[in-house]
Order: sequence, then C-alpha cells, then structure tokens
Amino acid sequence: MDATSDRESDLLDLTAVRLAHLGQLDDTVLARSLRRLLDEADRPQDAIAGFQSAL
Amino acid sequence: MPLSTEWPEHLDVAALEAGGWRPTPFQQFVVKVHSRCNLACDYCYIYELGDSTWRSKPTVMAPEIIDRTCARIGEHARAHGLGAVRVVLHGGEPLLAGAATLARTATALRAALPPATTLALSVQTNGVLLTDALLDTLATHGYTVGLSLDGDQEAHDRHRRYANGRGSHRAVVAALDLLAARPGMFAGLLCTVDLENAPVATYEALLAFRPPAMDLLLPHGTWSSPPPRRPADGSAPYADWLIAVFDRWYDAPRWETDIRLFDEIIRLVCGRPSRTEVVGLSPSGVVVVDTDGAVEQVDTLKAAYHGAPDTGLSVFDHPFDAALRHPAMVARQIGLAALSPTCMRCPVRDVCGGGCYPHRYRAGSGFRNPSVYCADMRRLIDHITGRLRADLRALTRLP
Repeated sequence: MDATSDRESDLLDLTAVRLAHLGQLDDTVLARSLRRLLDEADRPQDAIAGFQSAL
Repeated sequence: MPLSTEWPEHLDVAALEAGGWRPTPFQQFVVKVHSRCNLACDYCYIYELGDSTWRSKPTVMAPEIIDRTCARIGEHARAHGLGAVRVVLHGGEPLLAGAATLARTATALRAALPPATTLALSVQTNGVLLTDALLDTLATHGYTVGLSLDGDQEAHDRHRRYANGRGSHRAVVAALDLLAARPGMFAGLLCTVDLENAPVATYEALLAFRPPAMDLLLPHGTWSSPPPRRPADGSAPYADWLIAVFDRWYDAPRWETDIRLFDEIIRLVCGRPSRTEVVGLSPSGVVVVDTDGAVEQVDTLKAAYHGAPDTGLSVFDHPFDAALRHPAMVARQIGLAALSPTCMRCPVRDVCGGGCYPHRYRAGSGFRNPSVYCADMRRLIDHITGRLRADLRALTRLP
C-alpha cells in the first residue's frame, strides 16, 4: 500500500537481481537496462526532468 | 485566453517554501537562436497549435542577447555549484541562424561557465540545412546533433514538408548520411507518432540510420484541443501503437538502440527517478530563452494556449533564479502536489507522473488534470511493467 493514499503501488523490486543473473543474458534490452540500473544503484538518486523536444 | 482561476496561476509559492519546498536549479537551457523554420510541418506545436507569439519575436537571436544569455547560464551554474549543464540550440530551425551564430554561442558559453561545470552542447534540427561545412563548425565547437525523422519517406513526408508542399525526407536522409561519417556527433532521432504509420515499420525505418538513441513523441494536444484520433473514451490507440514498437525493440535478440520513452518507463517501474519531462515526478530542470531574451517555460506549452510559456522575465533584467519562483515553473517542480485527484488514486501514478504537462491542460481549470493521453499511458505502463515482471521472475529463478 502507498503511504500517501489508498492506492496500490506497482513498482518492481530489483533487490533479488544479481550481476550473475545478467551474465546469463545476451546483450538484450533487458540485460542492458538492468546493468545500467544496478551500476547506478549506489549513486545519488536525484534527477531532473529534461527537455522532451531534443536528444 | 485562459480564465484567471486556472491552476497553477495562484500557486502559493511562499507557502510552499515555508513548508520546506526548495526549487531545483535549472540544468538544461534551451536557447532559441532562430524563431522561424524552413519547413511547415502541419503538426508543429510552435506554429500550428494555440500560440502565435513567434510572429512578434526577432527572427534571429542578436549577438548581445546570445552573450547575455550565456552570461546568465554561467551565473546560474556558479550560484548553484552546478557540475554540469546541458544547452540545446533550438528554434524554429536553429541552423537558419548560421554557422557564425552557432560558433559564437558555443564560445560565449564556455567563456561564461565556471571551469568546474561541464557543458553538453547540442543542436536539434530538422536536418535540411546540414552540410559537411556546417558539421565541421559544429564539430569544432563540440556540438552533438539530434534530428527529427518520422519514419520512411511516406510517413515522414505526410507532415514534414516545405511550405510549397514538397516533402523533406530526401534532404533529411542526405543529412543523416553526412552524420553517419561522424558517429560521435549523432545524438539520435526524434519521431512524432502518427497512427497512420505502421509502428514496427516506422521503428525499423529509423533504425536503418543506426541512431544511438531515439524518442517517440506523442503529438501535442490538450483536453480542449485533443490530439488527432484520440477519442474521449477509454480506448488507447497510441498505447497500442507504442506497445507494438516496444515489443519489437524489447524482444530483439540484441540491443539495437535506446528509446528514451521506454527506457525511462523501465527506470521508473524499477523505482528510479525519470530524466524526462514526459513521465515520472522528477522536478523540471528546463528553462527556455527566446530570440528576444525572454525567459520562458518549455515551448510545448504553446499547444495549450497563446502565450502559455510566458513568464514576463528577461535575461536582460532577471537572473534565472527569478524564474525558479514563478508559479508556473514551481508547478513543474512539486511532484505529487501538481497532480489531479484522479492521478493521485492511480496505481501507476509514480511512473506516469500525470504524463506530459501540456497534455493535462483543460481550458477553465488549467493543468491539474490527468493527461489527455491518460488511457494510453496506463495501458503502455501496464504492458511494460508486465513484461518486466515476467522476465525478472524468470531471471531470479535461475541458479
């Protein structure tokens, strides 16, 4: 349950994912995404919402 | 014109600060070096939707305004100890400003920024003026280049045409061929979704140019001026289109490119903050400077109503800190407090974040509404979450 309302949260938990698991994946979108997320897990989790109309 | 009761016009910034809220410094600066365009795309949010302020703006940003804008960016970086800033040259069509203006802007920026602040400098262009000589200038000054491409020739030329009706696809392909020889400069492709175009074929047409990244943009619209083929019911045609691309991209045996919208939803579903204004609850860190030096909110707000991005501030008279306390800017930095009651009850609230801010607008009430793409956002997020959940479950069962 979410602390700020009566809604159910639907976020996924990555704590059970280990680098060893990723070694069993090819260079897929999933593997690349998880590697990035695990790589940055120890960094500050602040971010700004950037401009949509540019890359 | 909006009514005076529209949110967030009367947002009580002082009360928010008294309650502990603090503004997030700007870290992305969109500099409009040219206010006109050499294309006449029929979906353009700057020229074709609710706003016509471009008519009263100078065509090109004058040298003294460029210098003043760069000095303000340096001032902001110094005041807030920013380790990095991103500056995007935009328009109109920024390449119309010419090589000298692009060079001057880069030089002035580097002179203005403190040594400890790194600069990511880019230009977002329709590509039709890109030449090897201009790419030499851009390379010399450290620019990366993002292009707009909507798919194959038929898809692209349906909307992205010159004023005489001729399509621009051929010119963009020529530009992409030039960029292919300079891979470090190519930032990627922006594609506006058109339900008339086959989703997977569109993705593969973009992929053919080997972009390091792409993004799929929903056409701008509001509750008062809905996007094309977005019925006011629970159907989700844009989600269906995006899901077809997601599955093609996600199921590829090897990674092919980044797709920003999907990458950011994946991050959010896994509990990380978003880095784009389209999803999530991260504070907006973007400010725009127009060709006359006016300090504005993001220009996609022009889809809402005439003058929507205005703040009344100018680089001549105000530091960017003044914009950080403008109610409309503050509304983009207060996370959940900016969401509608409907959004607050939604299970994908923290991932969707209410969707792209301009898409929430309804004349009479303002921006505290769900997105006009609410049904599409919900279906897309549920789909991506479901795919990830199934794969993570299978992955963590492995020995």
